Amino acid sequence: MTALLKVSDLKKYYALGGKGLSDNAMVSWVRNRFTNAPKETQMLHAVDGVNFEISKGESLGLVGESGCGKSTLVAMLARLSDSTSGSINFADKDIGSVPAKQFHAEPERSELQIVFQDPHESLNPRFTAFDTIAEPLRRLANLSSKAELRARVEAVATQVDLPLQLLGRFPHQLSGGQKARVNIARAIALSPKLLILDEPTSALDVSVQAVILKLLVRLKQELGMSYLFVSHDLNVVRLLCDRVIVMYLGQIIEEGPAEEIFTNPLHPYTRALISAIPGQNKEDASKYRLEGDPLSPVDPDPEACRFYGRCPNGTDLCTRAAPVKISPNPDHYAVCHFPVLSE
Amino acid sequence: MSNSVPILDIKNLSVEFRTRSGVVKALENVSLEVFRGEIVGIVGESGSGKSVSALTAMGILDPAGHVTAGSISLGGLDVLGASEAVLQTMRGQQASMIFQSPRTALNPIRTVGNQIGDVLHRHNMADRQHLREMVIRTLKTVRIPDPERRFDAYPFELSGGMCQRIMIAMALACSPELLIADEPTTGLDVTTQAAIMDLIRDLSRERNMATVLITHDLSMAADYCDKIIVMHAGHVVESGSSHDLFTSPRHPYTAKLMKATPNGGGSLDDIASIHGGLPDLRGLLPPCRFSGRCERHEAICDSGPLDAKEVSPNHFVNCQRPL
Ligand SMILES: Nc1ncnc2c1ncn2[C@@H]1O[C@H](COP(=O)(O)OP(=O)(O)OP(=O)(O)O)[C@@H](O)[C@H]1O
Ligand SMILES: Nc1ncnc2c1ncn2[C@@H]1O[C@H](COP(=O)(O)OP(=O)(O)OP(=O)(O)O)[C@@H](O)[C@H]1O
Ligand SMILES: [Mg+2]
Ligand SMILES: [Mg+2]
Repeated sequence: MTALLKVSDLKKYYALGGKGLSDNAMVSWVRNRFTNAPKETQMLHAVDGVNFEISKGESLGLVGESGCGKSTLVAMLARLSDSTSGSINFADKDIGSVPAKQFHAEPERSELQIVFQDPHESLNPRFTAFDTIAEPLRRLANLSSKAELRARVEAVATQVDLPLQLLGRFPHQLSGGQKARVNIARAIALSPKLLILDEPTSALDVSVQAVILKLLVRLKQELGMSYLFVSHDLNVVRLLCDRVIVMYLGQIIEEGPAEEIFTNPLHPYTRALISAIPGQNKEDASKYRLEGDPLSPVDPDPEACRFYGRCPNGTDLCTRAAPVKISPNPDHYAVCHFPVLSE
Repeated sequence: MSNSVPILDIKNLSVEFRTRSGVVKALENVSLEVFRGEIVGIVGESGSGKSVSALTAMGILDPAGHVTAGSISLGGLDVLGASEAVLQTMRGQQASMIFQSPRTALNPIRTVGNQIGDVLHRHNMADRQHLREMVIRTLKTVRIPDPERRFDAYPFELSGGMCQRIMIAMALACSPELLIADEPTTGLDVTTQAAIMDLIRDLSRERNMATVLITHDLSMAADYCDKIIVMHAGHVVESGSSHDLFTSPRHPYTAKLMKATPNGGGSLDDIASIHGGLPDLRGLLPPCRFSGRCERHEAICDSGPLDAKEVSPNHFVNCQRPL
């Protein structure tokens, strides 16, 4: 089966220094690089050579520390920002080469939708809930009448359990959870092939979360939608995702089937992550608590493991040689010199 | 101050919002006590009044909001009667709040270092000379990597999680006696969340600080809170020690909340959503605002105002027919 989404060696670097982050800084960095001029601009490696695939109907979880590059990655996939290098193939089309600014005119636009991290800031304050949900339908759904539009909006609102009497309200008149529901309704209004969800339920209380998760599972079954599900709630990832990728400082350090990752993590970082899930056996939890600070994402040493310094298994080797890929079975790998030995 | 006087004491608080579409009865008869050295969790669904309670306690209620009954004492100060000048001194020196959406709470056109510097300077925590040093030290306490460089970063250059840590740094900069944290780790990964919550817990122990933790993560509340208040539609429905609440919830709503929380392993079928949603807080409401969603609802539930029943020592339930 061919992949719906295939991402190859994708990178996003931000140039730092002086006035910061203009594209010019990037251009001059590239020029310096290739003319062997002294390198002046420092680069923040937000996403640093990422490879993965999502098949049709599959849901992939993406987890990792805050600041590890999840939102940056997702913004490139949804074609909201351009990559530094690498490719993005969606439904056999190289969408990575379409500039982000032009992507709204591509047919793929309606097939690839995103729900953003923070419902409080991603809603237009001048749009009512109705306007927000109707916006993609107006633009891309070819509806013939106002009545038809209203019917579609109300149907979607009902799907996400948004009371219809709230449709006339503006964002500041809605609670956090209500805003998140408006956001999800907008994204599913066009029944996309791939739905990218960046922390969709983090602002939702559990009772609504249960509804949304069940809704997502149902939509996946009915419409064959695929998901890329970014979340810090690992219990939710475990419930919803077939496969999981774990990122650390811009790179994928482990990938495997969800149950494998949770019960048999290979990378010491993954183990620390799993054991920090709240509400477990306390002793176990603090045993693997991470000490110290993550390394800086600015110009990281390509010959060293980025987890070194916080890793209980780290040795001198980890500072001299880039970590290696180990794979106990074909669908599970980690990138590490000293993986966790199964107990 | 002796430990027998709560640092925050909210008594029978009712708050209404007058909106064009009617009066929203956001809080009714809410009471809450927080002592120094203690972490008190407020949990409940979105819209249940957690933030409104916190904002009212800090004296920063939206102008559309009106306190119709009750009293609030914070470190001995009558919050509802105090002038804005007095409240401003109180905020930052005695009490600090970490707000729910960190990025919008930060000034987008000032570097984060300068923003923390402003707070320190305003409260005379550092002179101009040592300000940079102090700010960097503050950034380190919340484990911001590369603090020297982050000093000059603008909020948009930082991930959501990092903005949240900046907010926490600002709130803790002045060593408040009371910290109100409104969803402080929402949007953070679990390892950072554990680090931040450990930090908040350590500080509350070391400094004998009182902490109110607003969260909808029941597992996290269970891990970190001494006491938990469960709110539903503007009412406190149950309160007690974390242990009592989690081992024997007595309000049907608390039990349902627990059922709705994924807890590792299992399948989606094991978690149950809660029937219906919060009632519309405008207009006439039944004495028990959960009655419309409750399977145990009977005629007696509509019979009259609810009073908190002490079902075991310091474990209170507002329900005619508790579990
Ligand atoms: N516009 C920008 N300019 C410079 N650096 C940026 C910019 N946007 C993000 N970064 C940096 O890129 C890195 C990755 O950030 P990103 O927002 O992708 O993290 P994340 O994994 O989504 O974090 P969170 O879980 O907190 O949302 C961080 O170090 C961040 O500071
Ligand atoms: N300025 C306002 N005008 C009108 N109603 C408001 C206003 N602020 C809050 N409300 C209403 O008051 C109730 C309580 O809101 P509050 O923000 O305290 O909820 P919450 O428990 O913090 O929810 P969340 O988990 O979503 O943050 C809600 O019904 C909300 O719609
Ligand atoms: Mg993010
Ligand atoms: Mg709130």
